[in-house]
Amino acid sequence: MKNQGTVILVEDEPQIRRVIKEALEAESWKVFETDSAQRALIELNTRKPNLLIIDLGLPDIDGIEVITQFREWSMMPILVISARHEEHQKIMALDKGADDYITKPFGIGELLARVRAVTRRKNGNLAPSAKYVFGEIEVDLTNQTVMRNNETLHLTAIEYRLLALLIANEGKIISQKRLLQEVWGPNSSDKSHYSRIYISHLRHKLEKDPTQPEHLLTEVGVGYRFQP
Amino acid sequence: MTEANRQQKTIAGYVIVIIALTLVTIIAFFAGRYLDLVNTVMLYLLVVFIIALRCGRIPAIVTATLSVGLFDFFFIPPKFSFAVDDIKYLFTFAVMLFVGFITAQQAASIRTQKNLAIDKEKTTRGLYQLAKELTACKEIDDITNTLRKYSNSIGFDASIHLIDQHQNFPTFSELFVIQSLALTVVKQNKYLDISSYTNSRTSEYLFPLNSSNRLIGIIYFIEKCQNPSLQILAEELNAVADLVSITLERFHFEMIASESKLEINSERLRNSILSSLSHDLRTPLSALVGMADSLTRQIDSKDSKLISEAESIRDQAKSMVGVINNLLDMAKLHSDHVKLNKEWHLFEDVIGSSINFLKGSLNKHKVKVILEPNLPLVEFDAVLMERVLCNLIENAAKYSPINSEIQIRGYMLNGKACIEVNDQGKGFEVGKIDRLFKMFIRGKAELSVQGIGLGLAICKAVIDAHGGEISASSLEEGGASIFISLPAGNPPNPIMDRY
Repeated sequence: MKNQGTVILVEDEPQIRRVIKEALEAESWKVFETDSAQRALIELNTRKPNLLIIDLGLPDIDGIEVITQFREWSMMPILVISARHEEHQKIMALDKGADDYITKPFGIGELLARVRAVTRRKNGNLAPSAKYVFGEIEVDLTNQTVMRNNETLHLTAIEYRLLALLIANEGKIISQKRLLQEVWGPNSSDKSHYSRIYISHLRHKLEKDPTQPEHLLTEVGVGYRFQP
Repeated sequence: MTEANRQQKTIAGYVIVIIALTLVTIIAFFAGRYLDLVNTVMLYLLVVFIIALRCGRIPAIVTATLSVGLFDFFFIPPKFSFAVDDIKYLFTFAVMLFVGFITAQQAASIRTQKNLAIDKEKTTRGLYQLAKELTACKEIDDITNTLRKYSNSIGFDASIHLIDQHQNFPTFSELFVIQSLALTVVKQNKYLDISSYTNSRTSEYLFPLNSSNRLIGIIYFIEKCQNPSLQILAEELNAVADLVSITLERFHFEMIASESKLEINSERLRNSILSSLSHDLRTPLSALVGMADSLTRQIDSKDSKLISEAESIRDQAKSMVGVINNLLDMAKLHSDHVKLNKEWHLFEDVIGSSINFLKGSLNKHKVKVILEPNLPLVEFDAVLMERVLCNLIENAAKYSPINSEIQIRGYMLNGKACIEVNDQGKGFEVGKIDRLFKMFIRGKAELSVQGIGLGLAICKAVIDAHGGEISASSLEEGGASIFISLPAGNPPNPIMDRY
């Protein structure tokens, strides 16, 4: 397998660090590990990594602070490791520029899927002419049409915008705030129920069973994730 | 000013009158040949004027009258007799008296006003001093002492009596009448003279202590010596009562501030214990899950026994994380303030995400979700509601046979948004249903009642915090059913696009 690039892994728990490191190395990543935010900031400057994986609960500096500083000069993807009870921390990390998070405890498969999703070139993998297929659904991004089993589905303008945004970020979390801003424009952050209703409409049109969605997933308290 | 003092002053006034008149008469008499009668009259009027300024109205009137007498006796021919030769002098006497009286009147009123101004100024200064001393007070005893000192200076004794939550004044008189009078005083916010009720010869007053939004208590003033006018005094005592009220109010808010500070501190401590506990418990388990998972990937796929053992380590560790999460949830929910992050959600969303979260442990069951079409938005904390549903669905899976169906229903009933989770297990034992939730309210959670233990208690706590209801029942066709209802509220109405 060809070299995937360099990862800086910031995690204070050595066992978890080891598991992640082994998993990533098996996928041909070059891993630099560190257990403190201070070291991480130095490593980030010198190594110019392709990916940052960071635990939010670090002993010295808050992980969110590292993300904020890193985002000032780099657009490289950031994956956050967080505990389950910390929805507000996840949201804050996403707001400050993290691309996605993974919740402890996690399996290796889940970790690698997240890594793949965040390192896929941002918005670049979909040529505008491309047809995007998932499940029974085929989305024609040029003509902005959606078909299910060769039958055209009618989507409203907002529904289509929503779907296009989700597809462009396939596999990645989109926070409620970002979704509202990109689909409904600025000043819409107090209208989170809009997104819930429209996602529901989309599910009814696209999912086999809208109550047990396979593609348009809700991450409660944080946002949405599109799983092809 | 005391009564004896006042009397002394009056006597002194009359002595001055006599001396002044004698002096003027002697001077005028012996200087008679140099002075005209008109000058003599002027001298007498001067005396009247000075006396009026110095000693007040009555001495001035006396002086004026005496002056006329003396003038007639010593200077008007025939001398040394009150008889008058020339009738024109009667006119002089009349004018003299008249001028004397007017002067007396005017001078006296100026004097009264001056005294009044001085008194008022003194009162103001006293009140200012009192206010200054009250600001320095740190305890209620300080206030009492300061108040007593001030009251003594104006001839009163005073004490403060605070109202308690039963609207009594525990430190005040035990007489019911007096207690109820005191209550009337605070409620009407108006002072009262209670001497007639206490059969006391000295005056006793109750002044209300109130703030804008609560009754504080009363000040009881008892007179130590006779005081001139209650009218002025009432104003002053009212001001005193207001100052004391403000000080007590300051104490009150200082107390609230320090209490809430304490509360914040203990809340912070609790949270930091919880978060460090959860970190310490979950970290090794997370490592265990990761390592076991990585083991399953490394073991040769032909060795299915080893793989399944590694998988079972992983799954057991995962379920242990679940138990710890439940414990921590419970601890958080049992703290005094459950902070709900309520927003308008669809049941569909949170049901879907719960099923998705439990994906791994639900693969041996069929999950069926039946939602009434067009369910409205419901206001709840989605994160907590997801925990509730996860707990319920997990229980259903645990207590029902493999390949059976777990049914989740969502519908509106009697203006409430309802969710039901039904399984095809054995249902609940008759007679145990009531205990399912009650047991935990008392905090006697028996963990031996597997799984159901903490899970349902958490559900109950969350639903209660939302003002909803949760109940359990056994289905007729067998199987357990948990029913949740939440208030429907007034969901917002988003503007829909139609194209």
